[in-house]
Amino acid sequence: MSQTDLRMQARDVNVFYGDDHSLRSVSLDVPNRHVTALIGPSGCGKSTFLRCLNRMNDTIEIARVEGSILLEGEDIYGEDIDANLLRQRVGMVFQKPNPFPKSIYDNVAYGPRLHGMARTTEELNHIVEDALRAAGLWEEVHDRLDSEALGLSGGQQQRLCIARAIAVSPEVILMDEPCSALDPIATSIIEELILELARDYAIVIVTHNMQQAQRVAGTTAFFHLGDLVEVQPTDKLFNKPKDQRTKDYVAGSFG
Amino acid sequence: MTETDAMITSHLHTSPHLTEAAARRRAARQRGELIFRSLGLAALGLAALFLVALMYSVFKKSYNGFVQSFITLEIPLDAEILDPEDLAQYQASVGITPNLWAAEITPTARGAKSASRKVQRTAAYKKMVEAMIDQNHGEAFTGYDGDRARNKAISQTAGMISTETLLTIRDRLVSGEYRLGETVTVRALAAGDADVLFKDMKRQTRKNLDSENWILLKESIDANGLSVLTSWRDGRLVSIRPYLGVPRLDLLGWTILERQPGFFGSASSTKPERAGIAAAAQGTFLMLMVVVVLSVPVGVLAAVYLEKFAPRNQFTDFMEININNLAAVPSIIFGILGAAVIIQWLFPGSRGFPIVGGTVLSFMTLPTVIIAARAAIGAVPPSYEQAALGMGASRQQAVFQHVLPAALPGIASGVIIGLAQAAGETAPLLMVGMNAFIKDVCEVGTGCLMARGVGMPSQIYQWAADDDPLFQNKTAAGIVCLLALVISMNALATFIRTRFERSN
Repeated sequence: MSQTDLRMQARDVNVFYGDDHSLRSVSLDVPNRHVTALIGPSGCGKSTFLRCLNRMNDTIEIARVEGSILLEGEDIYGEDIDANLLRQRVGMVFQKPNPFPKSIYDNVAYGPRLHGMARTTEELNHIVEDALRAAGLWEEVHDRLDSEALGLSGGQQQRLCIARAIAVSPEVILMDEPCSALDPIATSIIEELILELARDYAIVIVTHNMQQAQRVAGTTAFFHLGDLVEVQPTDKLFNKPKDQRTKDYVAGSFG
Repeated sequence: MTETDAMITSHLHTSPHLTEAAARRRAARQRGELIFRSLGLAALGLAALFLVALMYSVFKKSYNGFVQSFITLEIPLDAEILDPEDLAQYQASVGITPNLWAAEITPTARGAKSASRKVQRTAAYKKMVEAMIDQNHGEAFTGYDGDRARNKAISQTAGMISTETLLTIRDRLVSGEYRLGETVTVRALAAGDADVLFKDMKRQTRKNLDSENWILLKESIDANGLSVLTSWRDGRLVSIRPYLGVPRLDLLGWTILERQPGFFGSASSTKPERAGIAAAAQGTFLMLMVVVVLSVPVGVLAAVYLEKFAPRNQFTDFMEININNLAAVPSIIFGILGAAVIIQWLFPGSRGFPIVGGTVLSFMTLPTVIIAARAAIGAVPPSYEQAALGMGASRQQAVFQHVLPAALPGIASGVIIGLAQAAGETAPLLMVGMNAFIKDVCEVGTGCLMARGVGMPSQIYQWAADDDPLFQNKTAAGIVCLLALVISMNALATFIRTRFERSN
């Protein structure tokens, strides 16, 4: 894999919450047009690492991040980096669907409006339609864009959140257990969507569900107690893990 | 008996839950619960009883405060009583062309007798009423021992007409609406004590209705040995109690009307029959506006900052403790603060201005608003903020575009409860002089915020200090108004909270 194919590179990332050293020397590459899954038992640091990638940890006062994370070769913790602009480039989808209590249209249009991406209403309409189409939601909601987003089903809400994230044309999409609050059918729709989005975006997904990682991810990273234990192409990690801890985890011995 | 049955039986005999001691424990527990439940019910019943007693006494007393008795009279404006020259001079002095006489009066009748009473004294108009009573109802005043006693009785009867009505007659004479010599029909306001008496009699009469709709309430002997019948018929008072010194009102034939609401339209007055809540309501309204303008932006922004932006350190902890303590500071202390800082130091001469009263109430309301707003902001799901941040919004954008709108119903209900609290505060108003005697409603647009005013609680306080029975009724009526205001504000707050917070 050549250098240019890497969207993000994390090097020796350490995270402290107060005195708690919760992530130790993690180095991980995020390739373009590819799904990278982060797995591991609860409290292993996978979500913490994910939140480092768009500096969401900044909002936690006691959190401190060391090491370097490069986006397109530029350190996102550098002094001249605006965290808000960074989060536009590195979008995020959360564990629980969290649409704004507004209309479907306004949810998707929020980011483009915020960043002044559309000069006319037609442009904005286009962006919203494209995002909803990309999230596979257009057919279901195109005739009720003005209705409340909270009236959608859980799975639809999560796809709306994905549409909202891609409406600002991010370079990377982070997903923090995006299916954990959804039923199996909604989950499989989202998984298909992730595979589709992977043609255009770099995706990093945190998941508790090892089958999900196997279904969607090209690369899987296993975290344990704040350490990045092993990164492998997904097949290899599940079938021929190198580390004993990985072997135990994927075999279901713990976690 | 099968083996299983035997096992169950033996179990029954050996189970520690089925022994006699266990049964006693269970009975004791049930007894304890019963006692607890009945004590709770008793406490609730007692509280309800107090509430009902309070409400009953206030509402019962307030009825007379809301309605007002009027007497319809025909009064001849006798030129022999009022000095026509003085009236003409007075008219000229206020810029009205003297125009005294009704057309049908012949010039020779003008000022036939010497009329010495002055325009500005109410004595002249009272005399007109007395003359009318003497002329029309003279037969009611027979049997008195000498003219002096008779005149006194007539004078007391005329005293049933409020001074306010006498002044109205004067004003109309001066303005030329009434002319000397004509007989005018006046709906006269009953003076305070007469008003209370009429209402009292009417209520007693209602209780004693007989088949002919003619009720004899009681028969008594007055100071002059005359029999006085106290009764009521067809909405007409036909006699009156002797203690007013008014004999045989049935012979007067006056019609007394009730329920003309003047309470909401008029300001306070030294005459209880004229006293209304309007000026006080206006003062309270103005103060609440000041509270909204001052404490809402300051309180909400302080809450946003403390809840969302302030670093957690000793200073903010200190601030937080102080804000929470401020909410429990007695309101009179805020009043002293206002009197000392605003009136004595910053703006001398601003005593009693609604803007000062409102500022003091804002100090008092601010902690309530901050605490309510912080709770409302804290209750907004963090996911809204996270979603906005994840989209590249700044903290400020996330808070003001998503958190604050979602917290608005909670903030609004907190603000309204704070306002309701402020509306009912008396002590701070007394401290900043918002208990002035205000006899006119301030005309809107004339700087009412910067003119001496009064608030509803302090108006009630003023009235309560007067032992006139009608003022006591007005006190109760004022309390009912204040209660209605506060309860409706609280209801609005509850409505906003339940109606709009659900939808999130």
